[in-house]
Amino acid sequence: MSAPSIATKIPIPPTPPDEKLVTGGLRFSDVTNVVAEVTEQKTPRNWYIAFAFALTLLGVFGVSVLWLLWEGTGVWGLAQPVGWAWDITNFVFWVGIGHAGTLISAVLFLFRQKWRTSINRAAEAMTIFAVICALMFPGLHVGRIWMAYYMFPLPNQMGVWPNFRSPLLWDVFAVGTYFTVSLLFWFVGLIPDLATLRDRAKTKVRAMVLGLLSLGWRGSMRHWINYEKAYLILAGISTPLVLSVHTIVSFDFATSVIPGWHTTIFPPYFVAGAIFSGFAMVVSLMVITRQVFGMKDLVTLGHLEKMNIIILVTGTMVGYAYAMEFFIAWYSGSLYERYAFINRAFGPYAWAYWTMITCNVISPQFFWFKRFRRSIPVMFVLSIMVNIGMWFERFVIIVTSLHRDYLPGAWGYFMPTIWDMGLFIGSFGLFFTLFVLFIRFLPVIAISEVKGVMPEADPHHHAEGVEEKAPLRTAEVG
Amino acid sequence: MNEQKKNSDLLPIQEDGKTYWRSVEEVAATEEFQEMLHREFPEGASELTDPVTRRSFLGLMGASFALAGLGTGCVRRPEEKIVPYAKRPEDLVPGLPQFYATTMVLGDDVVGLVVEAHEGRPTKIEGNPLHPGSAGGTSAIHQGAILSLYDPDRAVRVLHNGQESDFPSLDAALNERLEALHPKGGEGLLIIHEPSRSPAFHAQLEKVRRQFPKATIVSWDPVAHNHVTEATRIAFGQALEPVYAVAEADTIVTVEADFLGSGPNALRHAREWATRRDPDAPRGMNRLYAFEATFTVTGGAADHRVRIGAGQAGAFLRHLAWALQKEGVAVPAGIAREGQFDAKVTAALAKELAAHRGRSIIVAGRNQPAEVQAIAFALNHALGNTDRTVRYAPAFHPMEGAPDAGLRKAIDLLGQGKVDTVIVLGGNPVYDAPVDLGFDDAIVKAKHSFHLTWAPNETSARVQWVIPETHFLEEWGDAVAVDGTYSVVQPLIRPIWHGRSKIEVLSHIAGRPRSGYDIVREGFFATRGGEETWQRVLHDGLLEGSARFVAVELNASGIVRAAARLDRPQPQGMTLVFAPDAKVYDGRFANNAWLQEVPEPLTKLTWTNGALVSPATAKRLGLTNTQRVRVEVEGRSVEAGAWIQPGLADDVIVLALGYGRWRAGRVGERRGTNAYALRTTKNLWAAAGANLTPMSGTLLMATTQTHGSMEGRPIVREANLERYQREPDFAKKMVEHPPLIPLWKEHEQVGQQWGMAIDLNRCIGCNGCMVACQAENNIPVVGPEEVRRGRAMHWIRIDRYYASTNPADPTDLGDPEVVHQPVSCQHCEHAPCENVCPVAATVHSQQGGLNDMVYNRCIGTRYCANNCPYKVRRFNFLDFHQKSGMTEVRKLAFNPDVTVRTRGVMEKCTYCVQRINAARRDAKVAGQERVPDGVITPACAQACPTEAIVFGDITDPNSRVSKRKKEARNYELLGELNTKPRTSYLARIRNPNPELVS
Repeated sequence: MSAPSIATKIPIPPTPPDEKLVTGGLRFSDVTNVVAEVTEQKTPRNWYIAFAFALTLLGVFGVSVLWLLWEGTGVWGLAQPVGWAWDITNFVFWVGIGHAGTLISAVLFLFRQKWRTSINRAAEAMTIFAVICALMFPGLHVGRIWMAYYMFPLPNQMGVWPNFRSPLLWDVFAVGTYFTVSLLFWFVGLIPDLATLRDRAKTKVRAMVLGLLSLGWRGSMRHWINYEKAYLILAGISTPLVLSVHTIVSFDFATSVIPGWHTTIFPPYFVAGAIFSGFAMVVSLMVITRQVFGMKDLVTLGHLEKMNIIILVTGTMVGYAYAMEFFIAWYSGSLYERYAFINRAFGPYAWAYWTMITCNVISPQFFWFKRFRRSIPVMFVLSIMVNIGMWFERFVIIVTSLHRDYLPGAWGYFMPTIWDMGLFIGSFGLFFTLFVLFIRFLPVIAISEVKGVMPEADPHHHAEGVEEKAPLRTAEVG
Repeated sequence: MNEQKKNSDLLPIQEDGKTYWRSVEEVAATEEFQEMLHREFPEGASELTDPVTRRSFLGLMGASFALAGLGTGCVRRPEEKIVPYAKRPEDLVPGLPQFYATTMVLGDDVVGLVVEAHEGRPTKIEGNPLHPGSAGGTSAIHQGAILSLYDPDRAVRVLHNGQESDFPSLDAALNERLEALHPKGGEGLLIIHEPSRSPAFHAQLEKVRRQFPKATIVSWDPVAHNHVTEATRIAFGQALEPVYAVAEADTIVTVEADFLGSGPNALRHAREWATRRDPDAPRGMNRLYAFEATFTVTGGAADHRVRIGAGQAGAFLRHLAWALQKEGVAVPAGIAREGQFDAKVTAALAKELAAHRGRSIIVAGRNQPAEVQAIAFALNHALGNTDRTVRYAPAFHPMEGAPDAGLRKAIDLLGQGKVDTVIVLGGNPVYDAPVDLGFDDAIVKAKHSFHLTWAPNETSARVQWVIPETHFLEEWGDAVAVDGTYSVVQPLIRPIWHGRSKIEVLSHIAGRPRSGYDIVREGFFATRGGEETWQRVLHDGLLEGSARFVAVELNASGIVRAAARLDRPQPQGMTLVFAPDAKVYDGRFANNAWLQEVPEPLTKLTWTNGALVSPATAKRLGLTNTQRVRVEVEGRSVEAGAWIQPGLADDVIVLALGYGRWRAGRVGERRGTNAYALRTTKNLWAAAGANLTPMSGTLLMATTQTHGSMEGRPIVREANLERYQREPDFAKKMVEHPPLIPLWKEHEQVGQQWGMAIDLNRCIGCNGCMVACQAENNIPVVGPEEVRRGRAMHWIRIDRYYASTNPADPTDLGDPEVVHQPVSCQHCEHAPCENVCPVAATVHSQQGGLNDMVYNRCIGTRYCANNCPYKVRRFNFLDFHQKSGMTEVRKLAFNPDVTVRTRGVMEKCTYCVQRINAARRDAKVAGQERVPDGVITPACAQACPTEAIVFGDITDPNSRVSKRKKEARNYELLGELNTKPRTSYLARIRNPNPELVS
């Protein structure tokens, strides 16, 4: 028989009220209303303020891009020997952020973690927007952007293919695949909810647009069966991507010969770091969103606490990786490796290294305490710190390794310019703009999925407050 | 007809049958032609709004036909017209360069050159292997000269009181003065000229003297006016030039002398010195001792570099004489005197010199007081070196009196208002005359003034008439090297701006304007030989066997008297030392961006000079690099940036000449500190009692190398001769690594495989290769701000590392050893860059095995540069060619065989693939299966004065490069990464005196 939800198989101890996945005594209709009304009501003033803020940052992005394209990559602080700095730091940073969305939506789905339902939509959207931001950087950082299409394996009269040995090309495929699959996954998940919105639409235009987007969804059993299969398959495809994308991104460094880059620990370390930063970003965003849109009953403290636990776990993994890098540098006996790591911690960029350690290794340790895990202010500050730390992690890896490699005669020091900063800050504008548009026009929470994890979804559910567990248990056991 | 004849006589150059450029200019004056030009070359002609470039465009159309495919930094390729010759000159095949021998004179240094020209456009300078002053090598300055030819800030037209004028008006004005002065025998006529090594120049000057017997004719040069002839007069009673046979010397002692790095025959010295640096050479290695307060290129190459205090050269030589005396060498009694010097070193040195009589050289710097140099001559004499390793040639038109005597006389006359007309032939005395003479104020007192100059400078701003002078690549001339070798200066191009050469102007003054060609040729026929010899001289660039040496007799008593004059109390305080710059020389190359940007050999500073101080002095004064300081001497002061130079004597400030120009052109103005502002007649080369005051703030001092320690890494591998003899392959043993397994399939190798070997034992870090590469490969300059960021574009760089000689404290750089290592693309067979390029823009060539860079394919991810362990890849971040102010005339300096890269493209050393391909083509045409060894020489190897760089086919076991690579000293830099570099290095071997090795 098709697997019923895990809760029906395994005895669950009575959960405290606030541990419920949906609190506040919401019914199905309440859930629909809470989520759908956000997209239907008159645009709140606060939204305009947020949108204006996001657009301003997007303007910074636009100006930075235009100046970059007009003048060349020399507007940044790059030089010899540091050929990559903020550009690729930002790329890895944004790709990493995206990971949490896929993890929440796909991996947790496969593991039947029901608590994901309230945050998966927003997290997936975040993934897509973050990957869009990420893709900006490798696209923009090349010297001749008008020739960037050489990166794609397009048949051409020159008979030249890209270089399939290059990790940068693998990146193109890995991130391209990731973006495509994430977008599909997100969109498939949206279909039932878009249909719900369509059915509630008051105007004809709205109904038509939503009708198109919901692909004729009628909610029939066959639709649901196909939908569940598609969703499961896409979740299955997405799951390895969580591991593969950042693994391949880490290959950019791991396959090189540069001390500090040439490290076999990078793939798991990068994946852990990506999940770490991604969850931190989800926490930051959801803390704001649930506050602004009054969704505290759907995105509960329990959800946030679970994410904080993941932050604690992955943060500690990352800390382990930092320690292991140093151990291997010493253990390798390589003069250059040893210097690279000593230089990382005590060289000219020591300030960046210790920022990273403070934010990534020390700050998540607060989450050992339940009090902090469930404190909105603490988790908000810590999640921001984690993201700062993870940005610095990439900066430290990229810049400190490059600025002093093999031949001391070629060493240098990288200093960012305002255009480095402008593009980075501006990329948040791009992200926020997309996110603000998303929360205004699309259902931020997966209505159908949330309903699926509510007690009412259980066919044996009778009414609120009725003890239902005993018969279920006997039924299953029997 | 007669009228026309007269006019054409006045014109600068008139040769038989070669008038096509001039006719363009003549036609260009008409409106119809202008219109036609606009119609025919729409984008070129219409864009030329700068009058300078417009004129250059008109004047140079003929030469610019070949310039196709120059990028403008836009996405769209610019449209270019290629126009074939309607009538092809007989000996010219478009696309094939032509080579002519010529000569460049810089002060006393006469260097024979072979210059490459494309369609009448000189693009590259090489040394003339036949010439004794060059021996085939060139310095950075010679390499950079080509850029000065196309300098858009050159004197492009006659200026009268700052306004544009023309030659007829100038001639009228000049003739008027000459006619007025003639009846008085030239009283009131003052000619100030740069000292010249040209017989034709002196012949014309003699004619002027005959025409104007009462005229005052003086010379001035801030560097070449030194004390050498004065010293030979003391030592031998005649004006002579010492000529050193360095290859014959087993022991060389330099005292404040940069005889490998600058001055006459430096290139030859370096070449000969290097031939004796092979530890396996039959005659054994030579040994070089350098005693100096400043840190010179020679000091860096020395086996023993010993710091002595500033102004101690004389005392040191007397001390050495004393030590030699103890070894039984018959030095003139009275010059020997014990001093306060390292007894161990001097005793060992004296012993060695005594054991190598007739096979040693002692050189004192040409700027040292005459007495000091005279002692050096005496010691050489006493050691039996005269006529063996040291020979003397008659000085060529030696200077009379003190270096500044002429200038002083001129200023007196000017000050008394006795000068009607002053004619300054070249030079820049307003900028570089001793500051206490007040030349700046004096020159304006002349009623009429003329300045012949190839670039308007500070002096031009003070005269009424500025006459465009020809660059040496545009003029006929001749020169006599210090050893008497006669060579010819022949033009590669018609004067771009219709300038006149010095000899042409002199012939005009003498009343009979002639073309430079006629003057030189007639002079040659009158004194040196007939037509056949002349043709051979034109071909070879020099008259073989024209060197002359004379026998000398030592005037011992004169030297003793001179030595006594050195008994002056040692001055207190700091000493400021002036040094000619390794890049801009005396300031004349300040507007040459290649020379500005090439890093100074030791400080690695670009675009500026620093007030160099030793680490201990910096510590005492609390100075840091680039800190603003005030340098004061005799009540005059300048501001400078401090720069800590390891190995400098304590309490010495070194300030290079040639910076701080205020009228030099777009490149050279306000760069660094003007040392001339402190240089007085009394203190031409060193000023005691100087003061250095730290100030707040820092200055922009861009350096190409920020880290000077090797960090204990086996990068430059070196050993003493003794260890090498014990363990010849020590260099290979310095790195242990696991077995190296390739990740990918090996590249297939077809045909000859190219490789390079760089002998670190020969490299003196002179920078010749860097500028040669820049000229050959169209490498842009980036400017000081970008250099400071780390964006210098040189394809070959010279890493300079210091190593402490203090075993107790490895960070003590008070008295360091220095090593140089040229690093360019190593052309790895397992190239890390090739793997990582996503678009396959850097790939391995099957034919030759080069690591090729495909500019058209490059999208500029910079991943290759990141993954290059040698960090030799250079990225064009900002379209540097355009940013550095590309003009039409500057474009003529480009090598048409090499792509001009735009922004956003990675570039790097190609092993001069254009030369490889040309040689392969020629070999194929000649029916050869393989390119013979030695035919292909990359620009760096060709320029290298010491032949440190050797290139060739590594599959041929008999090629020079294969032989070098077979030497035990050969090692691969970072070979443990399994990059399999095609460039390898030969470890440096020091040859210290065994008695001095602790």
